[in-house]
Amino acid sequence: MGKIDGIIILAADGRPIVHSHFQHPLPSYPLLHTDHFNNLLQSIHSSNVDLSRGEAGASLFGSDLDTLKDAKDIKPVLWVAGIPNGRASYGGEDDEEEEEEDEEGEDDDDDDDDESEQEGDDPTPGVQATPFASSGESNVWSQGVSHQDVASPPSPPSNPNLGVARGRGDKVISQAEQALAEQGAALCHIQSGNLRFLCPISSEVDPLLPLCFLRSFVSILQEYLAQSSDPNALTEDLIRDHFDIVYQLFEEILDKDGNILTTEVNFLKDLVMPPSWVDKIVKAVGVAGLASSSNPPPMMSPIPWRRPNTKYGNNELYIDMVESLEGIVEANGRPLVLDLWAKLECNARLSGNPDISISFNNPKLIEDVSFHPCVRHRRWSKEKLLSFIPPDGNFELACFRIGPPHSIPITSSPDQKTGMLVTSACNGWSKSVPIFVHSEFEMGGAPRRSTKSNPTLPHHRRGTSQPSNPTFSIQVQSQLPPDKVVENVVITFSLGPGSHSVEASTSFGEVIWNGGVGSRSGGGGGASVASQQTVQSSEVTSFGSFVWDQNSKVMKWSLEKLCSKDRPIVLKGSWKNEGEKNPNPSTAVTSRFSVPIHSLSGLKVSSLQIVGEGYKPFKGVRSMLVGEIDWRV
Amino acid sequence: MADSGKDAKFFQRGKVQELRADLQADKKDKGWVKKKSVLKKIIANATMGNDMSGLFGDVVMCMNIQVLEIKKMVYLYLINYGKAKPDLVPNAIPGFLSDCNDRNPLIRALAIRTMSYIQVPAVISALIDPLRHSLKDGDPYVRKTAAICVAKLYMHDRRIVDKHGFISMLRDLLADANPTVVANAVAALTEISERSDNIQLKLNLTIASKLVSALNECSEWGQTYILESLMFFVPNDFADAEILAERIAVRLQHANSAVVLTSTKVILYLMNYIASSEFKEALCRKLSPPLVTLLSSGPEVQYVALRNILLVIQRRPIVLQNEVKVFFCKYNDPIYVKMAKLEIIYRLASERNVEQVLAELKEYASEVDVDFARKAVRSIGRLAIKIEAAADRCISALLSLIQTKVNYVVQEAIVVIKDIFRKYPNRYESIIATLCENLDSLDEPEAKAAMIWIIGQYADRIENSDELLEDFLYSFLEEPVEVQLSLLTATVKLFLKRPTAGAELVPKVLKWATEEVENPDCRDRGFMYWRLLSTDPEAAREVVLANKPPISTETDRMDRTLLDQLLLHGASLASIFHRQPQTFIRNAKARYMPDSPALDETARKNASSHLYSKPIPKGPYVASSTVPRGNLREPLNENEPGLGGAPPSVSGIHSRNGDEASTTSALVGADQNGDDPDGDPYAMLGDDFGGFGASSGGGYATDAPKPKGDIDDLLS
Repeated sequence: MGKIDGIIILAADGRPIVHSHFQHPLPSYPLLHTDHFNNLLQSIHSSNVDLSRGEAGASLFGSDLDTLKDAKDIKPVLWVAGIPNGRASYGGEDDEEEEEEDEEGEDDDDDDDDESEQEGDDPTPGVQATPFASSGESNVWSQGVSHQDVASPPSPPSNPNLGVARGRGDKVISQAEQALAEQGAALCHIQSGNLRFLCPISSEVDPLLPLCFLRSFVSILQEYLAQSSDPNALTEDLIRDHFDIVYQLFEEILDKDGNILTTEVNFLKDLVMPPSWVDKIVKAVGVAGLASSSNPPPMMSPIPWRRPNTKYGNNELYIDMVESLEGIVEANGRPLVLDLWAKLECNARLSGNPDISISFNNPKLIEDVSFHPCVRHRRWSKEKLLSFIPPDGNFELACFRIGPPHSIPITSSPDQKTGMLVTSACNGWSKSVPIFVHSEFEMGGAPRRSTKSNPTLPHHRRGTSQPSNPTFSIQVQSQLPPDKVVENVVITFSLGPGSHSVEASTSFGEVIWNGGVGSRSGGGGGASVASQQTVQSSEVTSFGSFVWDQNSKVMKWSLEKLCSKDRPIVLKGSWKNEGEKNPNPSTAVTSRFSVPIHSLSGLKVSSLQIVGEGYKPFKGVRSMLVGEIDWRV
Repeated sequence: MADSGKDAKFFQRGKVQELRADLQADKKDKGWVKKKSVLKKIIANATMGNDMSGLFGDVVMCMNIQVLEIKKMVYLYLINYGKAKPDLVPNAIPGFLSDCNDRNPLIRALAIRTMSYIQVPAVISALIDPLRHSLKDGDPYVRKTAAICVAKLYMHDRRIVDKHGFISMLRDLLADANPTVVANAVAALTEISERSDNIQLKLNLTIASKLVSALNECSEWGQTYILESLMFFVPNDFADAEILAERIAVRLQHANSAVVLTSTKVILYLMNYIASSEFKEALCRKLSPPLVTLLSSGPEVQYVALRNILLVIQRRPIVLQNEVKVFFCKYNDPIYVKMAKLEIIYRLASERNVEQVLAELKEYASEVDVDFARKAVRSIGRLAIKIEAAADRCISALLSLIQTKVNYVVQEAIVVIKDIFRKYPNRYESIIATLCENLDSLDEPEAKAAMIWIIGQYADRIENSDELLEDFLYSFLEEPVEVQLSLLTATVKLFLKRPTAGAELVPKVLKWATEEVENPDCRDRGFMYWRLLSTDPEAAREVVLANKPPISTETDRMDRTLLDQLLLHGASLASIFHRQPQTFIRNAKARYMPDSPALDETARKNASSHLYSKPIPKGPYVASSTVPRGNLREPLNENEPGLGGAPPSVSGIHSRNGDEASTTSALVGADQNGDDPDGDPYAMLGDDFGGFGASSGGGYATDAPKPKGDIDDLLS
């Protein structure tokens, strides 16, 4: 039995596209997993449909209250019950207890045989279902831990030979335990783009192994089939068209027992030819040449992540330092948690085996670092130097946290007027958040929670119901100096399950709300003026475009650019709620943004040297900032 | 892509006859292009489930074509149909054997790999010799493949492996110059020892440190195999463990989260064999940052990490003790991440950060997701019990939540407030009035029972307690058992405290309980009260109104032995489900802390001779003492010490024990405190805090394997 049972790729609608070989004797094993997963998706879907009909159906999640379910809430490691064990034989419906008794008689000291015998007569799931309900079983279970009172295990018939009762009792218990162990298997899954990748495991494995493995597998497929790391570039059609490549990859990365062989793309390219290459080589040398060209001795390269004899016409090395600001800002505008993470994303197109060293202007800022395997740990810990022979192509060199934030002099956005001036002692980035978002939801009456709410007052918003329609108002403002532009600002929030009746009243599928477009207001004030009817969300102005998704009840507001520092932009609107239900919008507004050529921390690559090869490559280093901040309402 | 759709046509159902004709076609086939495309069609058909076994003989004929691409497809076919055609398989053996001596190492490796999959006696016996050669092949790729084949062969027939000495050859590979070979050899050995009862993998210091050195040059997967195998090294003195732990700590910076988590597990294991507390503390400090880094990965990695962190911080509280903010939930976190974070936040709460934590929990209590909001409310109450200094603030937070009148929040709050009353008697009775305003909204048994308990407990302080109880009693016979029991006791308390007020109610309730109710627990308790009251009211007073044993949140910690065991299984399914693997994975072996002179004193009690051997209990062994009361819920229900009435569980956790167990314990007497003799160790393995309230939302418990759809049964 290997580590991983196999891989299943599902299309967006849950249909399996391909799956790898499964060693499991049950031919329907992968299907059982697929079905289980699809049932989950289906139950989420139907509970949401019930909800939008206003019926609170009992869903698989056991909660009969009106919460919208989301497929993202499916746990990444599931337990799929009722799948028989891999080595069970399906004829074995014999009375299990009798069998145990027989074994007792045969061999008292040969545990080995016991095991194999035991495996032979695994009961079918149907047989197993009963002992669970029986009251005697609890004893067996508790003894599994305590090894106590072995003379009286309840289920096996009493053993006449009391002299060896203890030893036998132990054995009986362990067998009973085995027999009682639930039948089933775990299912790990991830999603990439529209596709889902499932990985069943039926033995005791670190679930991160399949999960990480699936991620690697996805990136291998992307590299082979899509030549792009955009998750949406890898489509169902692409996989169907290249099923032979996919199968060959299955073969090479995972052996029939589920041992992971390799996931190094560069090594794989020696074993499985990417489709783009096949075309090229076939054109160049004809198919006969193909056979001989795929003959480089494997594992001869001393560096597993790099192909030997790589050659490029133009040698180039690009390094992106992507800082990522993540955190939560409280309703009063004070940041609660902020963390600045950074990734070094590299694209190396270098011939031969170049040896690269990178040093930083302020390496003390780098904390909690994790490296690509190519980085030499020792040199980092001694000299704070990133020294490595790079993999070929795109890879992530390192990921780290920049900190401690409070020790850093605040460099950006020196002058602010808004309510963000308060800095808590624990957070040095609090003044560096490049945008400011303020949101208000009114439940048809007073704001459900003002920013200065008295903590002892009830702030739960479902307490009151007013006749007028609930409204929202979201205000966003750049905090950067005028020469910097915040790009790709996306603000999302949910209006809550109560808002579904709205659709019924407006009668078309994608409802665009009365958009309060453009309003001038000073600082944090909420006085907005203009309001106009917009029907098309695609009307891209400097105020962005917004889309209301009726299914998920999520409002998404996208701004390509946010430059003006002194003019906040406001999105206002109102919605209706069905009958009795009180409005229940989200308690936080999520914002995403990016700032090109910008660094919050001031951390820079101070030198980049490449030795070991004769050429002088082109080197490019740049930094950018992305962010994902929750603004609590 | 331009050539899109090119291969899709291979999925068309091909007729076997047609394919055979194509395969046999003797036309000029330059570069085997035609053969290749026919084979592709055959494989495509086979994977679609069309039976291609009729072509076996023809495909075998293709084995002599020395083109890798064709070989791969032929082998793929043989694996698919080898078992189905045992009589024809021998025809393929000459081809296999010649491939085992091929010039190309890829083909050599492919040949033995394929042979080991076709578990037909003829193939297996033909495999023995080439396998032995392959284990000493000049090419590392072949050696590594051979190592895995040995494990595969062992699963099929352990006697062959024993007989031909393959195990010792595997052991020799541990000293191989190529780290990938080492990693695969060690993986094979680990797997064999997991399956076998007579082969126990034990690593000595020399091998262990060799393995650690090999880590540097291994692929990430190889690293996880090697790290996993280090669990089979038992340090004999502190220094060994320290050096090894130090060297493994470097792995914590690896980009692959599986490597990070497995390293964490090995370090935690080695820490059991380290005496110096400074050293251990230093190691703990090293563990925190990589765990935090894992939390910046995707939700699936976060989830696995969080479930493991929950175990780690219970065993080594220093880890992450200052990092509670890292676990604050973002609005868009998947619900399972939020739930796991919430548990950790609660455990990391201390006097220093309680202010922040409380503010955060209040925020969560107004979340849209019901299960999450409930859990947040509960956590606030438990915080009050855990940190006395914060009790006032927690109470006021709960009161403000009750004023929201959101039904489930109110019910949840009342359940925890009952716990708070238990913990701090005579301190917060002033809020009872507020609670009583919400009586009508209670519809969940747990909340009802809690409210009734409060009314009974303070029957003399609540002016209209008799009226309130009477209202509840109105539907006595329709109530679930836990509410009935609670009503029964509360009425008796009322009678003992205010005889005039209760005089009318008690006989009525006792009559119902003993004559109309079918549940034996309820009947028994009814009879007991009846007899107590009729024979010796003074004794009844002493028993029913006796002081309650104090409660604390310490009990919701996992049992140390169990925790140690789960940590040995760390970074595995067991650590996700928080259950021992042998209880849900067939053939999984339980792990026990191996004994050594260096082992920590407390752990030595349960130490064993090998990771996979059961420990021999040392000294008198009493199940109930090693299985401490699992959780807060139980002591809370034992609110009648004299009656010891381990009541049928509030959350259904004990339902499996059945009525009998409760009945017997109910008769045991005052000192038993309702200690359920079958004290179920799994009770504390609930996904939520110590099994607390598995009934109040399936979402709490969906973590655990649940074979029969009955979560409660399994969690217990």
